[in-house]
Amino acid sequence: MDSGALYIILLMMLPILAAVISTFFPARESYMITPMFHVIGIVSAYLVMDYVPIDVRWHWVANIELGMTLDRLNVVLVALVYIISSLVHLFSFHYMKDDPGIKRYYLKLAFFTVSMLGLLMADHLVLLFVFWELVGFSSYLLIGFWFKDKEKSTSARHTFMINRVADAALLIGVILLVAVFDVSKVSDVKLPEGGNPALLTLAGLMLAIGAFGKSAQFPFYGWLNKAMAGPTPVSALIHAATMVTAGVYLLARFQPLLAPNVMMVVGLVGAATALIAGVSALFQNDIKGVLAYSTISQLGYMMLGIGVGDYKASIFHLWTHAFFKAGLFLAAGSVIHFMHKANHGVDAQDMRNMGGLRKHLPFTFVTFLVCGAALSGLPFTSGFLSKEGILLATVLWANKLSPEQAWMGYSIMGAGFFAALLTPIYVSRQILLVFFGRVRTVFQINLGKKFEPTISVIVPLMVLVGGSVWFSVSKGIFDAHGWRLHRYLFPGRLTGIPEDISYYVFFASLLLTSIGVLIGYILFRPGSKKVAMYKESNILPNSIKGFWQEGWYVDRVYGVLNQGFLWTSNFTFWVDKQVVDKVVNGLGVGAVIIAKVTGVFDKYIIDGLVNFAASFFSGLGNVLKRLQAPLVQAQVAIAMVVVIVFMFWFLF
Amino acid sequence: MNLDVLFFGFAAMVALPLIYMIFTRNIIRSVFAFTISLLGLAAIYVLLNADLMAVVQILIYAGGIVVLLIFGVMLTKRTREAGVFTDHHQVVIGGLVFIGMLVFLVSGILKAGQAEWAGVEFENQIAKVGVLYLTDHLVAFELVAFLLLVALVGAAFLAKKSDH
Amino acid sequence: MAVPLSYYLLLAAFIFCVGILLVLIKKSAVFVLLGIELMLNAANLNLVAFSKFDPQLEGQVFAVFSVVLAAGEVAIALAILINIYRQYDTTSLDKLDQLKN
Repeated sequence: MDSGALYIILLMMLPILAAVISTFFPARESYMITPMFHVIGIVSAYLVMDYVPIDVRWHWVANIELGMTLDRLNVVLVALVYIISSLVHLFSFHYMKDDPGIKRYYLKLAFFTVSMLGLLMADHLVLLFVFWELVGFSSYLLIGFWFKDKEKSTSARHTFMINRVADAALLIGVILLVAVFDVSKVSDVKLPEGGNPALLTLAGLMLAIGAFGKSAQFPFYGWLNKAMAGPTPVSALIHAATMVTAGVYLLARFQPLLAPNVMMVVGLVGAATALIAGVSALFQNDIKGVLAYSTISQLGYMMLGIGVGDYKASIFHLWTHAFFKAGLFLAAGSVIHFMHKANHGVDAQDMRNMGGLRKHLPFTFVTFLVCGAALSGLPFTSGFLSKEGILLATVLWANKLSPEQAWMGYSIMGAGFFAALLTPIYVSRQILLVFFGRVRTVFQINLGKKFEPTISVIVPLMVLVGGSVWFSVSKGIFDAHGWRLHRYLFPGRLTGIPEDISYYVFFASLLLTSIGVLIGYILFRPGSKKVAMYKESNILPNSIKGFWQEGWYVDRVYGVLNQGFLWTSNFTFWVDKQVVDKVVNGLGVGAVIIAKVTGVFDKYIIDGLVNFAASFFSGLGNVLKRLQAPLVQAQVAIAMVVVIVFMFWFLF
Repeated sequence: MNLDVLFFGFAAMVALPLIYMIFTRNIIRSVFAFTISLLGLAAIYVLLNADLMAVVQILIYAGGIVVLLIFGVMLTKRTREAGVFTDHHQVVIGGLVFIGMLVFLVSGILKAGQAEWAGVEFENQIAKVGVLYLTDHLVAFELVAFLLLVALVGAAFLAKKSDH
Repeated sequence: MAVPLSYYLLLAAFIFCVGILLVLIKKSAVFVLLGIELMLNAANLNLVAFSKFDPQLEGQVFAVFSVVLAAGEVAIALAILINIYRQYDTTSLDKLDQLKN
């Protein structure tokens, strides 16, 4: 094995190694070594950056050659996964400290991380699909971590099933690409020469649908809210920073293959999802629910970026989003943990029970503020830069469209901008409801400020805050293409961007964000009418607000579809029972009759023949055994007769 | 002197004792008939200029083998009368095989056509054969000698009266 | 020397067939040995006759070997015969039917 293979395997297996090693120690503190292993991973990824690509290939079956590779794009994402994963491992130590299943938790978490790393490094579509499924499966394990809670295990199944639907489409795409177009290398995707263009479009569409499923896009986004049933650090790792971005990664890799129509679909779905999820986020009462819908919305942005052809902007947004969204989730985890400790009687995730927590959780508050600002796209944050990049790309794309398609381009662009307006509203709503005003419930235990400052909380939060401000990602404060890794990832020169459009977009997003923050503040400022009534507010299930709160009833649609499947299967069951079974029984009876007939035939004809043959040969044997004469001379005579016969036979 | 007549005479000398052998039941007589036949054959070898072969025939067959056979008869017959007589059996199948073989061989020989002696020298070849034995065929010659020795020892061993 | 080769061959064929006949029909083992010797003699006659055409005289050389081997064979055969006689008190081949079982 060469050193490259060793390196890749080591880089992939570090998390599980750490988890297994720490499992052997009885003390819970041993789990503190898992982040250290992750730090090794980060350093390794950093060191190897200048030595990529590293390529490992091995022969599998038939003519399929699997491979893993590290190139510029995925080494950055591997580093990202390691960074977020290390912080989540660290934070989990605080969050899961008292949970009896901590060993299981860490092993599952490591399993997930390894699967995700494998997904990023896989360099063959089939292998990528394998890891894709492993990621889905390990996320199912983590979402259903508290499987004794029926609701949570149901959520895990729900998540898993919806993912399966999309994965089926992905599988079709993979098969089409590998078998028909012979496109299998992930790191080097080229448009196949020849081939049926309609089929290629279909394959691209199938890939896109698979990506929609994993990245929680319309119409699959329903699962992400359900996935919040898992432990909150898990949500930070899986449903904010890594797994959900797999779809974005996939489409970024396979962008050269996507037909223009498919790109349009991706852009449309991305923009629609951004908008739909943004509206839904406004009406969530669950602290994680808001974050879940905001994640869906941001993933919609990334899809929009890919759809408009600027996957670089999407990758940039992926990077920044990983930091600020993980920060938000970890902060929310901190809040939930605090609420849980402080008051056992209430729902620890319901924002109606919160309020004024900034005094209790100052670090968490700062984190939430900075990361929330980044999510809203306020200036001086990383989110501002990356979101502006996507919006700019959208505007440029819409301007280039032909007149017939322009209306669609502009509506996609409009949706993107409108979602940019919605984001600061729900972020400020959440911050105001959680951290400001008065506490809307009674704390049974006064934890004071001693609760928060353990190292396993402060370090992750501070690192993520650091990753969410502008100087950590970019040299220029307002430069949407100034990402420090931009030059490394995309060595080509930037194409000229018209300065005026760049300014318009800059000011438009600035304006929209400011308006959003203002609206949010006016509506949800401490002491406003809405906040005063918030404790008792309850959204009716069948109102328009309920429609939005439940994610545009996407789950109900799933339910209806499910019901349809149920009816179909009941019907087919009935058909099976009434028709097929009878046919089968009839066939069975027929077979029995035929068997009887053949039995008789067997007994008298076949057996007769066999017996006849036996007795015939027995008689023949009796005759022939006389030839086996006892006397030597008789044998000689027989031999001579035979010799003579043969001589005559051959010579005359 | 017409050698054809000689050939037919010696051929008759070979063939007639054989016919007698077929029909007789007396072993001793048949052995003597066999001896006559062998002598006739030796004469035919002389006609073929194979003098060495003729001498060997007389020495070994007529002088050695015949004596051996007579001793064999004597050693295995206890009663003076019945001992030297034997019976025939499977006469029919034997006769059929005899006729079939004869027909096959004769028809084969006749079918093959005539070969001419023309160009073949007829001279005394003993010296030539002797040289051949001690040059080209020396290994075979020695091996046969050794084989004869082994056969002698083996025969003596087999014929030896066992102790019990 | 006008007697053609085929006459010798015919004579040899006759000797050979008589040998087979003796082997087949005579009950005495000594007779059977006689038959075998006749067949060998037939072969020798053929060899000598054919060696007329061979300046190397291979046929004659081989025939002499054959005679010598026949002598050895007879010696061994008679030794076996004597043993059989001691064992079964007969040399009649129709009595030696142990192969039957």
